[in-house]
Amino acid sequence: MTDANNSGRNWLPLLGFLAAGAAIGINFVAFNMPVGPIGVWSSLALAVLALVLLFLGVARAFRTGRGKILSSLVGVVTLLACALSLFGFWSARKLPSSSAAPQVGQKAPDFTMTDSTGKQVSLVQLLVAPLPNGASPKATLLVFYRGYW
Amino acid sequence: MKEYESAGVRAVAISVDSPQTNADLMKKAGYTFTFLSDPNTEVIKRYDLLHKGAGPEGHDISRPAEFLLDSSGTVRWTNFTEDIRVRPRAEEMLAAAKAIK
Repeated sequence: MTDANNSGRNWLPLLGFLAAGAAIGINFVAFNMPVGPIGVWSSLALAVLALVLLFLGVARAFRTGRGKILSSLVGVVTLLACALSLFGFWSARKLPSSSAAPQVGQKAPDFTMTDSTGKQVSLVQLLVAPLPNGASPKATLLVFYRGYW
Repeated sequence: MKEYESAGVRAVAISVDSPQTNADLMKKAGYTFTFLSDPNTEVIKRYDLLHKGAGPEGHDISRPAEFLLDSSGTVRWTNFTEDIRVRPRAEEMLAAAKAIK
């Protein structure tokens, strides 16, 4: 390492910490509203970047002998933040296989459920009942979702 | 949502939430499409979408999934996300709906 690298403050642990914070921030937003694949993968990339910066920063602190305690403290917090972010990444992708779900070309299983006004509604009804604009429906989109709580 | 309707698509949202929760959500968010309740995950199981223990306090809920059916009830398009943070784009679904005569 050159002298230039050893002079000035060691910003690497702080940068790592900021990257880890950004990764958590993206995850937090993503669990509440769709961010798309770019947002999802950037949270993973940021967590990995945070770990790399942290490693380089702490290694540098120990090599130069300056800021060993501070960089280690920042390092522990960054590690926890990365772990949380990676856990979020993993748990968001832990989904059942749904291998027996209806496939394209198959008939969708019929059902009867209660709507928001307390009325019983069947799939057969939904397929043919007129739309609010009076037209007969061409297609029905079933959106299963996790629930609003 | 108007876009769906003009494409001849009826949107139906299904979850474990109660009719009352759905009514509150519709009022709050101004949604006009149909919300159906499957509190005992009967239909969710029939569609093999049960996500065990993934809800609050370990309740079973539905995984996110979308099915586009034609008027005979045949599945014409599906979407199973691999990540609950990634949700389908309306344009994709509308394109599938346009392909149905």
